[in-house]
Amino acid sequence: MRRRTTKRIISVIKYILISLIGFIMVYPFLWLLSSSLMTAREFVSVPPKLVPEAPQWGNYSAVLKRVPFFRYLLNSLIVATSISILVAFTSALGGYAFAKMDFTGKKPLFRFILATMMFPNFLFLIPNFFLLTKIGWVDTYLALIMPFAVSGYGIFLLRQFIINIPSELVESARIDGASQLRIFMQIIVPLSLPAMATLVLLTFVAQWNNFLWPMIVTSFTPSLTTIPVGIAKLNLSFGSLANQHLVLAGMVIQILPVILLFVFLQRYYVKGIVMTGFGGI
Amino acid sequence: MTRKGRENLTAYLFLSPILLFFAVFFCFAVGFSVLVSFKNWNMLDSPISAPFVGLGNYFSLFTDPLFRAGLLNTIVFALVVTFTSITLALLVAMALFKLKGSAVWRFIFFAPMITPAVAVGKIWSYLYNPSYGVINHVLGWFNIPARAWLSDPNLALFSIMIVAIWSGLGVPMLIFTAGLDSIPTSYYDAARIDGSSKIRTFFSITLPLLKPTTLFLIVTGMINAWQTFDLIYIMGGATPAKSIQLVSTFMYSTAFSYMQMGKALAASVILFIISLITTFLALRSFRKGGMESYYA
Amino acid sequence: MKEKAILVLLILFASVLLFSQTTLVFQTHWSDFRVNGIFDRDGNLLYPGLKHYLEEYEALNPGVKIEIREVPFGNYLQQILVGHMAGKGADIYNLYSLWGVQLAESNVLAHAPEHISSKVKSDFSSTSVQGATINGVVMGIPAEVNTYALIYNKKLFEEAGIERAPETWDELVEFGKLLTKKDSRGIITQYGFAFPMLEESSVSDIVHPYFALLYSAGGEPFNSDLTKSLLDSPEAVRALEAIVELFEEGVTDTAGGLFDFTQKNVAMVIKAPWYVSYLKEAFGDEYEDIVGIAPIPYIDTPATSAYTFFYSVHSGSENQEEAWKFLEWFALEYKEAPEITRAGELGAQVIGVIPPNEKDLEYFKTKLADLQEYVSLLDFATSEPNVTQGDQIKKTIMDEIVAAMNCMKSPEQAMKDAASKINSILQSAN
Repeated sequence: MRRRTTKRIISVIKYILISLIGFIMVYPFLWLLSSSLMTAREFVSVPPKLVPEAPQWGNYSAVLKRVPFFRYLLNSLIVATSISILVAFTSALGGYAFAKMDFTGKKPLFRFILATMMFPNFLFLIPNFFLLTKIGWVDTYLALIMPFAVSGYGIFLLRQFIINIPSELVESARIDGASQLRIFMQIIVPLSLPAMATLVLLTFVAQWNNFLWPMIVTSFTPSLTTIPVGIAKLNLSFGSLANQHLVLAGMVIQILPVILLFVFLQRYYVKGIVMTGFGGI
Repeated sequence: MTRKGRENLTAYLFLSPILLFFAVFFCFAVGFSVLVSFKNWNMLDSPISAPFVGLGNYFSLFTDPLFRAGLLNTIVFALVVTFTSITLALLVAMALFKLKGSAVWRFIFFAPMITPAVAVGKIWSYLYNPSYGVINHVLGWFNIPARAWLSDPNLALFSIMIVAIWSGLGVPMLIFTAGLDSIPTSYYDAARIDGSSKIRTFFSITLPLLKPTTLFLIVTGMINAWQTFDLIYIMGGATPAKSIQLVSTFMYSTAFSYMQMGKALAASVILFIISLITTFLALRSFRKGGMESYYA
Repeated sequence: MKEKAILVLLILFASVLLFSQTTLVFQTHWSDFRVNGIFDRDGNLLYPGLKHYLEEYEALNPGVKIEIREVPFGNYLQQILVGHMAGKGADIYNLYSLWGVQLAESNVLAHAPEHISSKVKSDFSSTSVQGATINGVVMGIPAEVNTYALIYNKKLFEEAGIERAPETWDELVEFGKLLTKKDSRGIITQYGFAFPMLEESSVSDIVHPYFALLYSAGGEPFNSDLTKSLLDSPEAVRALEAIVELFEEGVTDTAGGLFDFTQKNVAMVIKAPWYVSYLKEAFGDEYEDIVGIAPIPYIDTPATSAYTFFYSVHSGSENQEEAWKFLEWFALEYKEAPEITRAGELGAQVIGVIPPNEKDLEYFKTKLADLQEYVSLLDFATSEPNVTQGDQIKKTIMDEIVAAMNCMKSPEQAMKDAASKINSILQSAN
């Protein structure tokens, strides 16, 4: 008897805890949505209002007129997709080499690659920017893409995965006289697709949210502005309280695409996290 | 060419894009940064002609109260955020364990992670607003006095830490779920048969089995926390600099506001050394078979 | 044969045109209506923005194209540094004078050609020329000179039964106490006075009023050759104590910066004239009834502080001649009628600042009532000292002031610390 009641109490506590935390997780987004439909005046009313009197859809059209949202979206898409694809391929290449090949300097090289993940971002900002101006890429998409085209995390992830591909497959193909390249393209890649897909997703999200580097690069070429920089810009252009409704609507517009994407592709993203334990590249 | 030679060649061919990348975007940058950290460079003159100051920048950092404050804040920030999110994540993972509708829950806990930090920061700045912000309003229901969360120097860092925890809950939670999943139910059955209480089971079976995972999460969590910049940048504003300074924002303002790039790079070298130490521990946990056993 | 020759000539001509197209990049911290102009309800252009002037110039000079690079004020210095280093600097900068010192000393700015600098010296107000002169050399054409004044909400004053703006600082504190309202939780719902805290301009909006008080107490921030900080003087401490008094008496707190004058829950702020244009946009028709402008309440004698901006040319620019030519047309040449410069017109009508050119000043003094108050303050204004590492010094001062505001340090301690920090900054810079 006692055990059942304690079990029930624990259940109830569990549910309360979960609901509370779950609510705290979601609330800011609900708040954003609701606030974006208020007038500027309603937004700053004290005590704060929960829902707008009448949804101000006009906020969205107003901000869409003043902010080149589609440009930002396009830029973020181009940049994030390109990086993801590049990372997936270079990681697969590297992952295969480390997983199935033997060569001089393998261990130290791998350690080196792992070590590169620990360097603070800041170290690279100025030198890379300088380099890119010398190469002449600084006002192109390449400036946003190339510095991130290879990822230590990705190499690590693919290596872990490919290690688990039975070596017999590789061996028998070699005996048949296949070159490494052929083995890679026809055996390894197809088998690694789940891992590569997950890597693509992880990288995509992390790169979509990248802020500091794009901020520096796009400040010289505004046509390259990506979404996180766009959000920061919103904040700066519409600073006064009278314009906050525009900032809010703008934020909703800019956050929505990734969230929608995530809704559909949750499963793979989650798998990737579990496999590496990382939330980002 | 020998067989070994051919193998080496193939391997390095496969690795060539990676090596090229690191040569261009990594080695040059690191070399440059380390060299300049020994100089006094204001970014206007050529870095080559900038005066050499040896360890001067490093010494000036150790005597700079802002850097010390930043270091302290970053350590506190990293520790509090990491340990709190891990603990919370574990609790939530356990509560959600084998619960229906997990896709919805996954989404709820992940949405903050996939939102750009600048958006997260901005939203919370509004919530924290002392007059029209929701937080003070809700606290008012419980008769808790309202506060200026982001502009009070005693509270500012704390307020930002809460946001960092909020947005970082998803990853540890997921990993713990995977970890919990992999504990064979036979262990629990045996414990039940032995008459062990729930709490005892937790401490003697669950927790020890999750040790490698936890250790791993702690280390990677700390490394991530060290790099936090976007959030502080958006939420920091003009709160008295000391209370909200992290090493990352310190580097940024030293370089771009005070035009002391050499000093800022010296700070980043120090940051790297600290990350190196923490990462050593991370590599150790990999070797212990930490993650690998979970997706056999 | 003839047709071929004509074709060749045409192609040559076209390619000459193509290659002789010069593009200038004009970098500024202005955005929105300052660039695009002010329109009335029906969408008609009331006052042209920066881009209209640029388009006008482009039409007159077909080989030249001018691009606007908008950079938020908070990123501006960073932008210049990164740009210069990477060879991506703009050609023309609308520059805050304080940054000018370092940039000039590192030869980032081009010296103004003789014919331009002599015209600047003759046609512009002395305060503004001072701001554009670094180490004795005129570095560009003054763009704005701004004083600080007290802006107050006349309606809130009426409600509190106050009939006029405060004249002395003591009065400010008294009036503030009457105007500040708190709710049952003790949170201020209406601020008698507020300092901005979280905006880009916050450093200036805190330090400049402080300087104004410093001057009005008879003090100086630096010695005459700008090598030593005088912030540990009794006048400096008095000035800070005056500010802290507002916090101690509960008239304001550090959350005040989150409120906005435009929301009508702040009764007094101290701001520069550009703020007035924001207020005009926010209040619309109500502007006249609500906004009052008065000199900053003083401690001993009336005083205010001022800062300047100037247009300059990047020394690394490949089109320096073209750039100076444009600036000459924009900021030195007078229009047919009225006899004003285009830059001055833009400044006074749209940006909301005091035009530095003497003729523009004469013309606009009568046109814009709200500028009058700011203009009259020019007589008591002391321009911001063009000290090296100015940005860092200002931030240091702001940190100490804010620490005192939050009761983390006594005003005496704060100023002592400020002085010693500044002295070490000055030492390592020199």
